[in-house]
Amino acid sequence: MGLVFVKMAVRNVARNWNRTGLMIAGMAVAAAMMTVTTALSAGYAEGAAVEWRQLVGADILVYADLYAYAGDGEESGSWQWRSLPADFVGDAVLFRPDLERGYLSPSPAGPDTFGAGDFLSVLDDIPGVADVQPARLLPAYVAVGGPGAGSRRIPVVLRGRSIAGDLSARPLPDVPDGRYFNPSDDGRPVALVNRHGPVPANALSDGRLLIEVPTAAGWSSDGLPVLDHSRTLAIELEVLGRFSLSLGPRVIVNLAQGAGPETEARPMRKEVYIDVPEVWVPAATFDLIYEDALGRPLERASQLCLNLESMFLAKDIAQSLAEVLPGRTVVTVPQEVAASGIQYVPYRTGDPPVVVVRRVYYPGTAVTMDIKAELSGAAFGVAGLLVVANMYVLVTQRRREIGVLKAVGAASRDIVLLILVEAVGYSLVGAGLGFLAVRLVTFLPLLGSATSLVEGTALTVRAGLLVVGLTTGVSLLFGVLPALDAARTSVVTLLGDQ
Amino acid sequence: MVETNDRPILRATRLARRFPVGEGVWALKRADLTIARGAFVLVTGPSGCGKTTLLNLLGGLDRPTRGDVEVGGVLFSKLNESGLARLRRREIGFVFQFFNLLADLTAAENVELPMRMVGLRKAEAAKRTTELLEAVGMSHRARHTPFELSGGEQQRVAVARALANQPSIVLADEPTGNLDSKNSAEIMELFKRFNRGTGQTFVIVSHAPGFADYADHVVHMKDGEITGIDHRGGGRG
Repeated sequence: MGLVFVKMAVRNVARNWNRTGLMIAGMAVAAAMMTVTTALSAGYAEGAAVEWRQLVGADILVYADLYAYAGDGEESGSWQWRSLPADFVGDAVLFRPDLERGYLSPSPAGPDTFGAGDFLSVLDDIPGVADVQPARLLPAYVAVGGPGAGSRRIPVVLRGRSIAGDLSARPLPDVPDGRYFNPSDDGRPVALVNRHGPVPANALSDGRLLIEVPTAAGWSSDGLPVLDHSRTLAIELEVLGRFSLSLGPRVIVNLAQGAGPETEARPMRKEVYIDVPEVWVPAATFDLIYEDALGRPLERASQLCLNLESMFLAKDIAQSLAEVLPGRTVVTVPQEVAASGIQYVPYRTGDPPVVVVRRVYYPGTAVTMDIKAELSGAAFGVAGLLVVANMYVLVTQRRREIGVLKAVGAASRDIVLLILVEAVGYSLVGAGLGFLAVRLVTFLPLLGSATSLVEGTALTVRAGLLVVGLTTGVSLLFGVLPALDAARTSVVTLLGDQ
Repeated sequence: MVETNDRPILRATRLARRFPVGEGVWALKRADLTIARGAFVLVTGPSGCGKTTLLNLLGGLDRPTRGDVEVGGVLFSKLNESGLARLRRREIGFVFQFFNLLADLTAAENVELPMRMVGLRKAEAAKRTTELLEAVGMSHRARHTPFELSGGEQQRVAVARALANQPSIVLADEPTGNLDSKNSAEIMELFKRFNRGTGQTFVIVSHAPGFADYADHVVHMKDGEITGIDHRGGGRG
């Protein structure tokens, strides 16, 4: 008998245009809100990740005038840092030749973009630049627990590193496994991971690391990939070692500094640098991964890397570049990202002082994540309430009809079925229209870009299924309650309401 | 116990209904009633005497506060909601004062619905629908929706719907309450014709004085109780 009510529900949707129109409009508004919300959520989440990744990439010049590097060990959930002794700070490069590189990132192509030749000619006038090369950077994820949806994914930066400066490996005196990255550059899938970064030890299995690299959803007119983080390429890397480079976002911490155990600690505000979550691979390996994941060889980088003769020159070079490249924002790492908060406990006093960084807040990330949570929650809540209200109206408007159906022999489950089928019909059509209305606006710019419409459409279909599915799910969930209520009400009451 | 004769299709025993309004209102204080198969019964009485309450209880649209109803040997108290729905579907047809046709369906679809609900094949249901609409003189309006029909026409369709599954009992609550005298008479004639032709039992609630002539038995009610029954032996028609 259920089929009779399914057909009846379909017929009701098709015939009662006033009700159908109102219901569909209501569902469409809710779905549109959900579409915007989910888009914002995804955007903020990705934006936060991109923001994080940009700390080591675009538009940032890395420099250091005070270093901290990894301490002797790790505590659970903490990174340990020890500032270099003051007398070594001025000559850190002697100890840390891996810091001889700075990274300059001109802005993405625009009207005032200069060509590589122009850029090099500018650099000619600035002493201390040893080499310029395109930055080999890709956002990636370390997959802990295997590839796929079930795994925990940690955002990292996959950095293709030229080994020209690393051929003469020298051990670091204080870091037992701190040999420099010196793999053969023959495209073997090998990597070096940050020893004190957020890549947990259990992500390594038998000396191998599983990473996931986003694929290309399309290409911008500038020849840069539009990355699809929902579709990734899993790559297993042989880990040759773990490095201990301590460059990254600058944060302000209070260092408990003292001359020795007997000396009372004197809190001081200092600038230190936090590890960036990097996975280094040889440049050639990077090129292979890039081509595999994105389908094209690396033709154009979004930034350039400057190898400096000395990191002491970094700040001056940044200043010079800012002067000769008007309109460019040249910053040192990462002035833009001064930490908004940091918790620490003194590890021990003495020389050198040690702090244990418990938690670091990256302002941009924190703000966007907060916005995401609050905005998404509020908008989703409103959209959900709208669907609930629609369902309530759908049922309460039709108590007489339900009463008549019960009088002629419909059972409660038939009534519920009737309402739910109608709800699904309204939801599918309404949510589809609402989603398309929003997506059409966002899709139009793609028509004028070099982004693949096929890929864009695939993304849209996936997002559409999500929004329509959610809307329908909420409709079903909240349609059941008033439908059950009406179905359980006596016929006399239902008809008496009239 | 008031009995219409000794071949019962419907039996109500100590039936009472109290509505929880204020301190509680006994709309039906006690009703003992046995109705024979094929009887044409008119329930009459002043407004508010409990006629509709009694009819609702006899049809299983409402549950009694006390007492029980038995239709074709099945006690309502033994049935759960879906069992009661199944009984209404097959054994009982309803005609309401306000017609209560489904507005989204055509006249034919309204009549066909109960048949489809009992699993009758589409073709068979369509054939019977045509016959019923012809019988009530509405075949020419089969594709019209209720909004396109007059009150009398809607009630004719409602009668056809009530008869769709050839129920043992047809219960009609003030079926002519919204009709003029001509249409009222036609509806009553229809009832009587089906009663005679099919042997179905009709229980009609009405306070219109002239309808007693159609009935085999007239049940009088007052203040929530059955005060008497007239056996009229065949009635008009």
